[in-house]
Amino acid sequence: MPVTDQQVATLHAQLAGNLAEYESLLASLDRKADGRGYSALLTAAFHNAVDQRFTRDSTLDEVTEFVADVRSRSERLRDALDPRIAEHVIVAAVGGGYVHDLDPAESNKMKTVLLTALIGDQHLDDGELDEFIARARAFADELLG
Amino acid sequence: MGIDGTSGTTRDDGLPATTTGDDGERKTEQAAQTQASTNDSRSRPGAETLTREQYAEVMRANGSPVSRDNSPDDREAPEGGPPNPPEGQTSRTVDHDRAEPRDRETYADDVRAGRSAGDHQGPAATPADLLVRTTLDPASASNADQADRPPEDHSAAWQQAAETPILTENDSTGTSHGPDQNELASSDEHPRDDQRGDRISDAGQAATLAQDQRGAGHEPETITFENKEIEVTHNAADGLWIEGLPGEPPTRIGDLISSPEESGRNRIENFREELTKDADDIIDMGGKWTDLLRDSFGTPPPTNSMTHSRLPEIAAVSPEHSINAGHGAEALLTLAIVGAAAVHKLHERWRRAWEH
Repeated sequence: MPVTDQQVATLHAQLAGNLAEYESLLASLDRKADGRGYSALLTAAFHNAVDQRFTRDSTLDEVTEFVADVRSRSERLRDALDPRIAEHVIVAAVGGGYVHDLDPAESNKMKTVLLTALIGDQHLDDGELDEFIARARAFADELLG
Repeated sequence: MGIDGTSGTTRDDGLPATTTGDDGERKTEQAAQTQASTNDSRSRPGAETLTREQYAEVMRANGSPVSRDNSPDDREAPEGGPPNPPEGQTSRTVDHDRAEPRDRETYADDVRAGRSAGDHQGPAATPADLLVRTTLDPASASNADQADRPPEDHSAAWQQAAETPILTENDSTGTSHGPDQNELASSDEHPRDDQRGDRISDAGQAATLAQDQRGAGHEPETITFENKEIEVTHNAADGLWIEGLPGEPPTRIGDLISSPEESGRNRIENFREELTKDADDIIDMGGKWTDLLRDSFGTPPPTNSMTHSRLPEIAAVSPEHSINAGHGAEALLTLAIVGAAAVHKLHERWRRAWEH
């Protein structure tokens, strides 16, 4: 089952910063029917965003600085993001993998927050955000196919 | 260091081969002996009144064990050599004896036969030791052109010795170094400070490797390859199998190694595994991170943020809906002026009509 428009709208609201709409749309998603599709969309978007920010020639310094920067944005983020896990998730993503041992809830939190920070740092306009989400959707459909 | 390389050199110098050694200490001895023989031995009266042969006979007669400590190290030195080595040489010789359990002849024979110090009991000199002796010993440094040439059969050890300071320096300065398997696993868990200069691809490889290592503890799983089910036990004893190898794939393997052409497909497979693993909680948990998402935008907020775009609209509209005392006074004053004008007009009309 491909990614639905509602799932795309949810991610769009999240990355656009319309968090009230994001909460509303997310709550309307069905846990069973939409879980895999939205997870695919989030995973695809996260890996695309990581690929835009980091390459295989990037250094661990850059990853560390990025994670430190995100954690410095609020006390909540500092408490919520374990820097080791966050760096590990990004490094694994750059290598085309993922952290096998990471708890799904923690993995989703890392991907959601780090994706938001990665996109937020790019200051995309509406067109660029639409393009980014369209590419993520295409990638997610490939993963689901 | 091979004895052949130094023996030829020492013969050129007129010194017996047995007085030259393989490491810096031996070169130190040689340097000290050479210096002593050229400068001190003939001009300075020796403290030992016995000749070398007399001394040796006395020692043998006393039944002293033939050890490196009580046998003069220069007993095979040419006649006329210094009866006693300089003090510094003695101390180095004692140190040398602790590190090299073989006597000089045994050592020479062993080296000619290709046997290393590791074939014997006792501590073997490490490449680092060799390097320290080579670089820090001024005597050996002075003889570097003669004795420091690494022979062919020990080139590997010298190459290691040459690499040692790089590794040591990197350890101390926190730059990259070659990690062992355990370090790879730890670096996978947490990129350490001394990896900060590393390219992320190296760490990614380490992460992949460590994940593969962790995979050894995973439950056996079944994969499908070319419509054939293969059980992956994650047990190295069951052997590895590389995708794409000719022939029938086995039904049971320890682990699967992807061929390069399969890496793209495996990347997709990794993502599929990831999204499947994380799919259960994403809907339920997503709403709990709204505050984190709000914070993660940081400052300044993105230009496409709805919050950002709505703020000016609210700021522009909200004053129109509020009524304050100034607005009321202005309205009353306006009404008063308009009313006064109307009353004045009415009064004029009535006066004209009354006059007519």
